[in-house]
Amino acid sequence: MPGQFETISSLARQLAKGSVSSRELVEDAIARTETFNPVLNAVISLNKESALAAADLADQARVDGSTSPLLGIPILHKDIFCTRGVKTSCASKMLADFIPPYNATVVDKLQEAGMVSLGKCNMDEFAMGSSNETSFFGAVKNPWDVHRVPGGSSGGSAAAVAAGLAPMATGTDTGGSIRQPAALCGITGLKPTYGRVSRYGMIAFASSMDQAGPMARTAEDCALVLNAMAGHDPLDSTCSDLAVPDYSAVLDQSIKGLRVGLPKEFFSSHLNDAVAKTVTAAIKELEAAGAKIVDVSLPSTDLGVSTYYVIAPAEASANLSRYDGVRYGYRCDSPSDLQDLYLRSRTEGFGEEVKRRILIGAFTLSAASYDQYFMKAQQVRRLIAEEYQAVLKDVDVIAGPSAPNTAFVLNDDSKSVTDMYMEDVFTIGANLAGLPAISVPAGFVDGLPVGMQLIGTRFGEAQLLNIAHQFQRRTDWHSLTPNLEGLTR
Amino acid sequence: MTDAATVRDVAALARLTISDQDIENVTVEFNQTLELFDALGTADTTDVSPMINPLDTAQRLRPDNIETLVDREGLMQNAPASEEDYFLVPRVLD
Amino acid sequence: MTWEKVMGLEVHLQLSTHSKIFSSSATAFGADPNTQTNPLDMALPGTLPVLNHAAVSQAIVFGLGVGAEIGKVSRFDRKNYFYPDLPKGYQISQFFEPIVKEGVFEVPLEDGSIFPVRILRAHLEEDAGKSVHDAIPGHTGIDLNRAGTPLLEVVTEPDFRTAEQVVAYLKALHALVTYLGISDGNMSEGSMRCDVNLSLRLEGETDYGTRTELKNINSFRFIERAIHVEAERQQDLLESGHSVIQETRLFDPDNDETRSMRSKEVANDYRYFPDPDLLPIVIDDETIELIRDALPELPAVKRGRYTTELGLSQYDANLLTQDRATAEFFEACCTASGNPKSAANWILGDLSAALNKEGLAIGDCNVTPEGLGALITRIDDGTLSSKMAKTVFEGLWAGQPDVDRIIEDKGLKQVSDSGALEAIVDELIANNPAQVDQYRAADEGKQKKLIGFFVGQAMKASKGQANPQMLNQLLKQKLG
Repeated sequence: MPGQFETISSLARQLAKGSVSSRELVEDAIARTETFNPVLNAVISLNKESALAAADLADQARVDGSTSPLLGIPILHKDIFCTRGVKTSCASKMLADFIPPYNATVVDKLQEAGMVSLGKCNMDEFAMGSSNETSFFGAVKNPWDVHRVPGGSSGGSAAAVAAGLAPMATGTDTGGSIRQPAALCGITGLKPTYGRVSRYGMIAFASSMDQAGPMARTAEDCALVLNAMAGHDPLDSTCSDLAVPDYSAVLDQSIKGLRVGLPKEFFSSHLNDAVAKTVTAAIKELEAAGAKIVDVSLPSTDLGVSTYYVIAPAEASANLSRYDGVRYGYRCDSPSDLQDLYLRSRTEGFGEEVKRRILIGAFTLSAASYDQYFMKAQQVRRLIAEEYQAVLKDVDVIAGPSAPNTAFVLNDDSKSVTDMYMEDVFTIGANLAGLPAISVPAGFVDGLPVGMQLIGTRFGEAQLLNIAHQFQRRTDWHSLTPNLEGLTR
Repeated sequence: MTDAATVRDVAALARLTISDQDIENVTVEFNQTLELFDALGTADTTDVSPMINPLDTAQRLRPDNIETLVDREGLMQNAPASEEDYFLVPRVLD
Repeated sequence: MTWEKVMGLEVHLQLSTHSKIFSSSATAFGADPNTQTNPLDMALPGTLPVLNHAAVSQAIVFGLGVGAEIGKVSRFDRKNYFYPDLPKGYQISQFFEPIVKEGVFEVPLEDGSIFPVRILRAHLEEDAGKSVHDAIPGHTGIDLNRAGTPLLEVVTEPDFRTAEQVVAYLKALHALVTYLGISDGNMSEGSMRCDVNLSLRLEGETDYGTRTELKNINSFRFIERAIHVEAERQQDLLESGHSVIQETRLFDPDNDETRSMRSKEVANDYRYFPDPDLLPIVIDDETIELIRDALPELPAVKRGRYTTELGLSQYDANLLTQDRATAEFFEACCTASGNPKSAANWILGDLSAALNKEGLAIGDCNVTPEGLGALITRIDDGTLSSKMAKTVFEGLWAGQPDVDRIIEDKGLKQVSDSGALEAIVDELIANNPAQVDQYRAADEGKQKKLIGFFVGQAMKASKGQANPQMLNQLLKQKLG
């Protein structure tokens, strides 16, 4: 029987050999989830029967000759992806009982590739948060230290993979929501180029930045999954019809002579010293592999946080207007009139962080503030995107930390709302500019994982994955696993 | 500085209610967030066109074909109140 | 004090696409509630808009039809407000960059003159669903079949001064869009909806007064009345020292008044911003030229051709081009008869009267342009008198297709055979010697009166079928 922390690549080989069946993998994953999830709270719906049925189908398909590399591999989906007939809550009271009559394109594509869905992962409510503490279903615990957060918003996905509940999970990243939790939980997470993966059926937070991606143990696994996730979708106008390369086929390129840019603004006062040392050491490893390290500058890095926290809430304020208690979702008890229905359904159905962002978004879009805030932020967004593009003409890839700190303690009252927003300072740029970025395990500080972030050119996922893979061939940070003893109730 | 009355007006636009108990705190946080945004004022954006979406391509068009992806029963299965194939809301007077 | 009305119009045209503007649901009118819907129309989470090609082409066709500039790069924006028939909580519209920009639309007036209306813009947007107040007691029911139907909102400058101008504009607009085939313009089904912005000012003033917006007036009949009633209301206010409040008002035809639609809620701020789910619509010159080349002949061009080439009056040309079906009927009838003036007279006379009487459209009656053309040919070649022609027309109207067959069946052939007529005349002269002598003795003036007796007798003898011109000529010759 394969171990708890095996990669997709390894499991795929064993499945192909016949040394294990998909049913066994799924039974094993269910057992582990039942053991560890009561403490972790990473998974909010586990669909045992349908998973076992799908596993049997996958095993049969293999007997019938199918050789899809993802056939029979268990997967967890962030609860932001609509799943036909399976509750999709976005970790909100608003959608606590919502059962979509359709699948997100990502869900369909991975199912077509033969993956077996175990269930849905916890997350920050409507993907708004960097700690996974805003979930209606309670906080997720970091498997490396259950008193700490896993990061967010894809915190459930990160914690589940880190704890070995599944070899991979889907995530979404609007301002760092794949990369930051991947860093804090010691796994690999890729945010593709905006437009690489369909957003259809993925519950919208900020439409011009949301992007789905894989969260797994290795870059090699991310490549395998991205092969199936990416590509044109007639149901999403912002999904590119650019051909999808075979990301797995280009993982063995030498990085000799590769130019890696280090933005001095990424190593600023926001960055924890110990994290800085760890990331610097990881970058040295790239240099040792032949890469050339170049100092670069992204002067508008700090402005990115302001820009992002104007644009994302503004888009969200409109995206979340559909939750009105009329067609689906939470509806207050016995509304006295239409306005009462709206006000109470929304006030009772949304959590505090979501309401905070809707409020700020409605304000920056209002006639009196539009030019000062929203319009200005969109202009600054272009400046930031141009800065990234200019730097990426000079270097092949930008490297730096994924997050300013390691996982912080749960319920930390000393962190203000805006302190929390600063968690995203290094990840936001890639979302504003629409660039692909990956976080890879790069070391530890006080027993807590640290992530290194690599940001690439538009549609340059193949290169990012190759660099990450080359790094993971030289290091073993990605294969270290948390001690799960004491993680049971 | 944005005052509590303005915050309440914005909340009303977004169909959210802020309780008397929370309004002070919400207003303080609201202003903290706006302070974070003040940094935008330092950027020179003369002649910079706003960036609406990072994809710099044109809108793709769909052929004018009729297709039903999900039937009415499926689409209305989550309705909290419906009758005779209508969604229901409290009576709206013109 | 003489008050002048100043009006600008916003007309919503439902485009005639098969599917909705952003989803593949059908747009047909009158389906069961919530059956013409897809996840997007219900604003289910995660759904995304994908723009319909036909909606864009039809907007360009319209822009070219009113001689307007086409926006090479246009965008969609979100207009945010809460209403139960607006499922997303925002309407996708074009606020900042419309697809059709400025143009001038020539409107023919009753007196034959042309009234130029400045078009400010026309933009694409999605329609809302329908709120039904009488289906379920105590509740409002929501039907989203109409949600997402493509609309083109056509906005004019405040160029109108009279209700007649407004009606003429709406009729011309209706004619244009039906010509172009981009909307059925059906007001009762809501395919064409009109909002009038109206203010008053003293004659000679150049500043505009405070305006009110009259919403959704759904028939030509009500428009004139609504304008009249609202102008009177404003005049009363102004003359009694009050001021007009800028607001939206609804015309109530039952009580013959307009009333405020002002709701008690906070003043709305629509928070327009570019929709991040949709990329810019980019239209290149080649596309515009392709569409231009495929345009049908426009009403204004037809009107010009009818007066200069076909010699019709401006009045007739205006009437014939009021809708595409009439113009096409007329042109086919010209081809069949070779006589445009007669074709125009018959269409605007007998045919139009019969259609009005039965409440039929020109395409729905039995009379074909070829049939009417054949009728005109038989008048022109002397086969039919105008009186007989009316009987033949009745035959066509009743559904008999062949004019010659009707003439034969009803025995309507005019006797134009000179031999047969000569025999009748000779017999008449032989049988009435006294009258013949009287005629021959009279002077020219008297003869004109006296010949009537012979004509009458000859007609009687021919059972009314004698060709009157030939008969006259023959009598003069034989009596002279």
